Amino acid sequence: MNLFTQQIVNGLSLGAIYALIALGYTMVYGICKLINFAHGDIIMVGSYIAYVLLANGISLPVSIIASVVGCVIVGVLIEKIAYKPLRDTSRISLLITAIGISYLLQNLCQLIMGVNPLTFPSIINIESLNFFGVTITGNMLVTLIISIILMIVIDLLVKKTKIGKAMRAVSEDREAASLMGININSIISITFAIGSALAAIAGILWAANYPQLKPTMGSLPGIKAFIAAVFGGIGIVPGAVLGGFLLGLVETMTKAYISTQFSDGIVFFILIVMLIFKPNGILGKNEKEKV
Amino acid sequence: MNNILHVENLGINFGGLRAVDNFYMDIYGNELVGLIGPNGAGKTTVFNMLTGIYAPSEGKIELMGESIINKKINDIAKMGIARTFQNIRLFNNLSVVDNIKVALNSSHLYSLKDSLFRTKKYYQAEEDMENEAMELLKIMHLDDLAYTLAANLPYGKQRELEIARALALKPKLLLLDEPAAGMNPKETLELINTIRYVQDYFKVSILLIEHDMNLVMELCKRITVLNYGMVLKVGSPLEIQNDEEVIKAYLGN
Amino acid sequence: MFREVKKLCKNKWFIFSLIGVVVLMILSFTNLISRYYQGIFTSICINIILVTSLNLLSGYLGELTLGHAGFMSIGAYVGAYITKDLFPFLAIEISFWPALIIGAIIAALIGFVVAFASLRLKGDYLAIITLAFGEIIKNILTNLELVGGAKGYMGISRFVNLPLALIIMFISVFLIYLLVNSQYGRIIKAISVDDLASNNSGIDTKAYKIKTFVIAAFFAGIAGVLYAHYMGNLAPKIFDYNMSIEILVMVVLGGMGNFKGGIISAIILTLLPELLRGFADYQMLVYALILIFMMLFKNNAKVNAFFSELKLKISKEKVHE
Repeated sequence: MNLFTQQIVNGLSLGAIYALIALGYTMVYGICKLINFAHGDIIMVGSYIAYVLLANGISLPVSIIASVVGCVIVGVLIEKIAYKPLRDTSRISLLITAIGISYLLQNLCQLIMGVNPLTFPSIINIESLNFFGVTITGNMLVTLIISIILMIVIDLLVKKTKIGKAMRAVSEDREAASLMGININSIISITFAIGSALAAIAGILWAANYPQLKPTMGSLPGIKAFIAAVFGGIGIVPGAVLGGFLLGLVETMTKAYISTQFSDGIVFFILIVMLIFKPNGILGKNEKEKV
Repeated sequence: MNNILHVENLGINFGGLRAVDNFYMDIYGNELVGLIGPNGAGKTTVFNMLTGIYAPSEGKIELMGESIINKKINDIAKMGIARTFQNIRLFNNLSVVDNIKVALNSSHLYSLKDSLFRTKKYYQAEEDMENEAMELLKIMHLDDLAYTLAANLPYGKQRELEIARALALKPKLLLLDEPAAGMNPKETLELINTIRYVQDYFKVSILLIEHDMNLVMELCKRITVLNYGMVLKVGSPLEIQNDEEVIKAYLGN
Repeated sequence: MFREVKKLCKNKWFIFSLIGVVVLMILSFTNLISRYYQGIFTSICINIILVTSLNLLSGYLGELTLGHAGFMSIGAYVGAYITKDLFPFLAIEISFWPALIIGAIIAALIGFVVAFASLRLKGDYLAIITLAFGEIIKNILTNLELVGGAKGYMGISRFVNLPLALIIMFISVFLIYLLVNSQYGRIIKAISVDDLASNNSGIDTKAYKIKTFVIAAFFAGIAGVLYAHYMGNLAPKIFDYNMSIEILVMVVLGGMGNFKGGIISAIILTLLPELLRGFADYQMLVYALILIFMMLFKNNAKVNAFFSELKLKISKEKVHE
């Protein structure tokens, strides 16, 4: 029983990071209908910036802020330079461009920082908590708390603020929103900025939990987070959170009880089965084609 | 008895909404029938049930005495119900003649093996298809545009091509969903002639949805009026035009 | 068949590529080109098969898929297993051919399963489910000790040389060409623009989607068997979604559903990293930049207007002549 509870805690903490990344994916998808393949690499950028600053003796809060700001700049620039000119063309062109950006970021990082893995310093030095034999490490605790706070903030932002309302309008119908006087360009930029900021935090949390930095470190968590977003119903904010936690739990449980080697395969298999029965994700609505 | 279409007690729910209720209709050989009603009355929903896109919640649809309920969309098309769409849906990436050939599929079957080995059957079928498609285009006065991309046709011609494509299925019943939508008076006049010509030449029964009352009154022998998903009135154009309930449904109280 | 070839002989592109293939064959038989270049041209052949088959699925039928490398890996592993472990006593000249066919058939079977499972899905969801299938295949191969597991599958006979790759590529592409230029091709193009209207025109759209998946997977399997017997060893991690994406990139750059374009872009994009070898460390960086600029360039209104004007001018001049 204790092992099971322990796995749930582990799964939630992993899922929290997936959820943060998935939020960025789903928001961008909701607005631009783009699978932003480069999103995973923003995680990498975030953790590398933090690493460099920390290694040079700069304090943790400053490093975190700088990493967030850096990622926001990178994210918004990518949108302005590479995605914006293609906004009204075929979605596949946009997808390929996103893939190009992903390669670009990885290779730039490799050039600047080298191929060899770097070790991220331990930044969370809180004692582990122990409840009835279930250990919650400081990393897990901080990851969970920060992620949940950020999720609440995003949810409030989308639901309660004017910007959130504009975002929802743009994702519903871009042209109509533009006719209602919403500045599409700035809403898209803000969306990319928020997504990138979340990715930066996710990157630092990821590095705190799995302290090995590589130029390609973002791609697998990125793909998995995208799957989490699809799981929950892509374009739907609560769906990304639900999908992220579910994916984290499924992955941890599979590793603990079924097989470590096959864990990725099983996660993908569950995704397939779920999509067959619920083609639009857990929270997605079934849309009938208008005839 | 040459009852082409027999529909009885047809109904469908969308969630909690009753979109069509107790719909009935009979169409006989070589007849031109109109289906009219205010926006949202459920006309296109009826078409979608007749072509298998929506599965009705209850009721009977019989084509030449054979039920089409729960049949696949493509099987219903092959059985003899062809249609056009409110917003023209052509294969824009194909030429005019290829649009027709796609619909000729059911009558000229050759297998992938035939195309891989370019057998005699392949050449025979391709030749037959070309001839038949060109003949159909000639009848519809589209033959000089045969090798133009469908997307590049003018609006009126696109409508005609869509009708031609439906006719390629050799239907017993042709459903036209607002064929005159978006047309100017001159084009509408041409369309009236085309529809009459098609009915005459192909000996096909036609059911059409239309908002252009001139066209409906001019063409249809019988008209069914739909309101709030239910049949309000069935009658001749004259009867419909003078029916108070119909006028009320259109103009409101 | 003969009539078709006769028709093709009037096509300058067909003649051009035929000459190319023959010249390359002669050059490699007479050892006039080095092993290094033979290797590059063999890779080009394999990529052309991959691109042409994916073009069927993603270009003509318009179904975005990210699992083509998965189908390829099935062909590669099954084929290699047959020649190396199943019939080790047979000479490779004999066992290669059944391996080629069986590898492709097993890949096609997997294609059938994937198609069947994903029939209800469209667009991005289809893309993600095919990606998931590809990753599952990779995951299974990584843990299958029978074929070397994560360490890789070594010691496969390196039977495939450039002339053989050229012949198999030429036949594969020709077969796909015949399919595209038939009623089947017409129908999948129709389905790609309007599923419902095709369905209403009496076409069993689901059956065509399944057929296309099966055919595309079959030829990806062929490419896989070639790859295995050209490389001599296999590792599951080569066949990840990045490889699927690379094939898709070639299809997109060549123009979705553009037969010639796909082949040309397969050639260019296979050569590109080799040409960029001089950049050493910057090779992949430049590749990424070129990719991005090509997409931006291709979709730029001014650039497109310039090219269509140029085309118009050229055709006008031709008329004047």
